Amino acid sequence: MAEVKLLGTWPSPFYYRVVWVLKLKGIAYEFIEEDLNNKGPLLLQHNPVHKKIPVLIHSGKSICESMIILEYIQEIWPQNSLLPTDPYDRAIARFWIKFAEDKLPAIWMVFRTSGEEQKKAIRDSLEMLETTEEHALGDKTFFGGDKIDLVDIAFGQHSQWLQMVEDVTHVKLLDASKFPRLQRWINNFKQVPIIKENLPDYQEMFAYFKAHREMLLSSK
Amino acid sequence: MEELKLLGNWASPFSYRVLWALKHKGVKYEYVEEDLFNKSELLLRCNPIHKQIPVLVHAGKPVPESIIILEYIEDTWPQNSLLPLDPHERTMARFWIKFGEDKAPIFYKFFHTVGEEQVKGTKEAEELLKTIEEYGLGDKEFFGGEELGLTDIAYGWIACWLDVLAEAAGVEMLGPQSFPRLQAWAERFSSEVKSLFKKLGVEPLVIELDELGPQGPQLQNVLEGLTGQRTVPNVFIDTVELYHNGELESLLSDANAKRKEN
Repeated sequence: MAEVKLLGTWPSPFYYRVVWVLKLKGIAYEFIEEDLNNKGPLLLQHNPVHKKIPVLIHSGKSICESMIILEYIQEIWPQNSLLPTDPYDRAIARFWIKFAEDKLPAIWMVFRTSGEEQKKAIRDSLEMLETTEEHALGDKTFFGGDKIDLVDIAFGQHSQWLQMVEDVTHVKLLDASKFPRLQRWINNFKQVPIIKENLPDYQEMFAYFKAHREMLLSSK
Repeated sequence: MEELKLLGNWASPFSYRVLWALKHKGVKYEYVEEDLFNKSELLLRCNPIHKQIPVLVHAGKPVPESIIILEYIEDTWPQNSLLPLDPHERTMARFWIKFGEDKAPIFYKFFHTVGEEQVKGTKEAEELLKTIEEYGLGDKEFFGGEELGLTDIAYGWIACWLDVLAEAAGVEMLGPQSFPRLQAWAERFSSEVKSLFKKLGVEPLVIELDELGPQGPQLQNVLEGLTGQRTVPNVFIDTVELYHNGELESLLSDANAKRKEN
């Protein structure tokens, strides 16, 4: 079997997207931890454009950007399919994946900022959560229907990183009474065995990101 | 055949992406021009999240967002394929399409700003063009390799709109010295767009402005007066034929009415 390597960093939700899909499809891989403060030659060689993790290296060829990596994995290893077969349903799945990619950064802006900038990021985040709950999820158990698919994976960072941002910044974003369906989805998603077994330790994650936010704010 | 409608706008490069893909595959569709200052109920119903064109409506089901539409067209009408067969190459095509989409706000910054900010914005856009030329296009004929693909269609706006925007904003970009490979690609891409009409059995009369000698710039002035743009490609329909068919008057009065509304 051809070699699969994954360059990543343990607290990154983008790295975890790839871990979840590799494990859901039963693909063996070698994990290579990257120090983002001291990027290694392998990372710079395989992702010269963005210089970011995650990067998947398969038979020596590199693929960058988490959702692009997931489309690649889906094509090469179609077992346990994570995209609909019907072209229209597939288009709608891709629409919501793009929505997640475009709008999730608002939550990270809440994490990175304070004052007026943060207030705007909070508004953008709430708008995104409303649209997600109302239009993307609706009354389904998962975004993929009865079982998870790439759309669930795309929104996967809500499972733990959303709460981390709330706890670190003391800003409540996902109020369960206002977003009951999303809250239920988070609970269901975290119970999926592969997801449950592959989440970073919350306390460690909280400490890591708390320190990171303090550094960001003090450098302004 | 199932009904296929494209809700678009004449000035939008996103709209054209879909047109080019449909024409490349020889797929028949009905085009519906949307007034972006007075969006139709159909558009708002078909794209409630973003309320934007283009939207492709196939057998009553709407697909919004130009890049999503392109993948849908490729999935549904696989003839004249626009994505490579090899999975890694397909992935690279998608990577570059995403790069263009993610960086779009930076690309357009020079157009929305003035003074110092515009200088900065222009520089950032040029750096992006450099990355695209170096890593995306390289020494290939097209982003897709030897033939046009989805990535070329996604970047088609560079070939057809960047000059217009730059001139309108008063900056210079995409000169032959600065990005020779990208400039060469832009010319090849424009050629492909012209030949798409030929494939449909429509014989366009193609006027090469730079082959007209001194009349070229004069004609360009006339074009600018007619269309508000000096750059090409520009497509003109045979108005004389429309007149003889009795269709010209209603078209003109519709156009006049729209102009008054705006």
